Amino acid sequence: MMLTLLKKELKERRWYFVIPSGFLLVAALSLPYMYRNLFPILYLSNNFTFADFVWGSWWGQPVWQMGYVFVFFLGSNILGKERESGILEFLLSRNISKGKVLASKIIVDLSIIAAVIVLTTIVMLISVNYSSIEYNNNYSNLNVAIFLWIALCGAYLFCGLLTLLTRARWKGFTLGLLWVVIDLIIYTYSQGTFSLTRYMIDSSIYMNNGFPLIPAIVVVVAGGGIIKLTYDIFSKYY
Amino acid sequence: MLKARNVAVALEEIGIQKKGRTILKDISLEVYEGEVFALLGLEGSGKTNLLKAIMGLNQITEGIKAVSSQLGYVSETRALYDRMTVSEIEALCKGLSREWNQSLFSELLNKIMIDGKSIVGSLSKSKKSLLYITLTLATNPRILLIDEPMEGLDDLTKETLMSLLLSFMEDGKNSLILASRTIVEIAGIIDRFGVLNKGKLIYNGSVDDAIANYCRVRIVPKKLDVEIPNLNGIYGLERDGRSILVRINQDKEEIIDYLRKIPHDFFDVIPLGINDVYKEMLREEMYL
Amino acid sequence: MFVHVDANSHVPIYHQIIQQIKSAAATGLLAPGDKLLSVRELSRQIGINPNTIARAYQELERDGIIETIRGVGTFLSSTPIRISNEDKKERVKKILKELFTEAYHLQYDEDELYRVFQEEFDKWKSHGGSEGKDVES
Repeated sequence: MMLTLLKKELKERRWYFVIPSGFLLVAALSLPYMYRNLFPILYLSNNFTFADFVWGSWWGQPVWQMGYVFVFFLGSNILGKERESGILEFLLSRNISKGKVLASKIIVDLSIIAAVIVLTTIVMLISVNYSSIEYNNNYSNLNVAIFLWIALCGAYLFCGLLTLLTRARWKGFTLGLLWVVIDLIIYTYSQGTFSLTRYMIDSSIYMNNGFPLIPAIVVVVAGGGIIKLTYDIFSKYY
Repeated sequence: MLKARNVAVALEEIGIQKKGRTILKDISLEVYEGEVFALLGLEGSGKTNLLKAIMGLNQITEGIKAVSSQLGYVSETRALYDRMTVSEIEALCKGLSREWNQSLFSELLNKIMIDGKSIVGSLSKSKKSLLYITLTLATNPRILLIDEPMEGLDDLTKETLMSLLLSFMEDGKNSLILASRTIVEIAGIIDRFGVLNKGKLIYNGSVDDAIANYCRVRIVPKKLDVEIPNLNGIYGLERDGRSILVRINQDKEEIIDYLRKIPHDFFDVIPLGINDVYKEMLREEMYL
Repeated sequence: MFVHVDANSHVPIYHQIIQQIKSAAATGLLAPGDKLLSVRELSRQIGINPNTIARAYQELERDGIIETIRGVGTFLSSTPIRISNEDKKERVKKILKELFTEAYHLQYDEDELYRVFQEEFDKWKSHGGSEGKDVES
């Protein structure tokens, strides 16, 4: 039963996997070219290595920033085809609990986020290591990928909850983006002391296989709370 | 002849409140195995909400609900994934159901003449409705709930649906609960019915009892100033010139005998069919 | 079978079925020993709830008008009807009362009524009376 549900959700959301992957693959494959041809000064300088470039131009922009937008699209579409309650009734009338319906959507979406990150990062690493440029990363790509996944999932859940609460897709999406903007403002005004994004911009945490454990735990716990809230809202109003 | 009957669905003082509004209040009724029960009422009377409550799609705020076996539900909107083909939706339902009667489904699909390759969204309203019901029947429910069974269907489809429902009832253990605005088209298959008005149950009984209890009497008394007393059982009186129309819902025989004794120029007992009785029940609410 | 019911009539459906079967027996459409449609078959044919049909059949069987042989089917009784004479008298009286009520409403002349009765009685007797098959309605 759950399997069929998961298969159906995956089929409905397959473009949410394909399109971001497409964009990121282009970015991944163009990293060496960009470094050599568009930033020759950096290329020649010793202070700004290729690894630094990759940190900014892969994790920083495409994955993190575009990732936010991507997960907000995903979160605001959490109900998918069942946005019209008529079809939701159909699923529920098959004697499937609301919990299972919601769970199948969340599981599939979190998996898509993971799959996109994993696939494109692997391609990125291949592209980077096979380029003739020296790539000595002093940060752990794996740790970044994991934390990024956790953070993006948290953002997705947050957006999903807002969408269910406001019952309008565009509202959920807009509110989600608003949160990012506020986070950025706080970061700027606090001169870099408060922010979730700080951990993304600061590669020093990841040096020597470091991992921002506490923030990760905070996001996971908050995420759990959001899931519970989402289930309550979903059960009550849909 | 007394027969111990098993209860399929029991509702005790069910109430539903949504955002401060009372949708249903104090609904108590029982539906037995092997019977067809109709929930009647005008739009907004609460039929759909009650049906959904039985299915578990609505939260009950008061009262107790008990259901003895597996339910099947056919929503009023008959909404399906319009982009899928019939075969795809069949596979989806098959995978989602604990029990799936493939032979029944294939047989019914043949009977209603729908091709597996058709796209659900392109089906006519009648065919889509039949498809929805077929998908539900294939899950082998013991209790089938249908919201507005006949709405929007062409006449041939109504017949096909009737025969599907009668087949469903044949084994004597299944129960059927229909929510409908009209009784005319389903009068032949229902055993008992309940009438909802503004969230309250105003009648709950058998069709035969309803026909036996309700009637109208038209009397033209010899004296103009005759007063017809407010007997228990008379719920309406209308004067039209010299003619008086008396509406009766109880103690029919006694009241008719009483009225007959009033000296009159004209006296007629008008018995009512179930459709008229239903209309009278709704009218009664206006008199109260 | 020839049963045709009106679900919206003021006469209960099971009663209509009973009447029609009785009338078919009286007019010879159904002969003693003829097989009736099963509850299921009749239900499908006329689109009526099998419970209602079962109820009609039960009453007909209780009155001895039809009999069911398990595994074979339901048949019109070939044995004489088991209704007591008392019951028969009550039934005839009831119909007579209805006739008188109607006559009252129509303000039908009493002597005329008696004459009409005699006419119809003689006609019926000449066609075979209680034994006869081709009674004109």
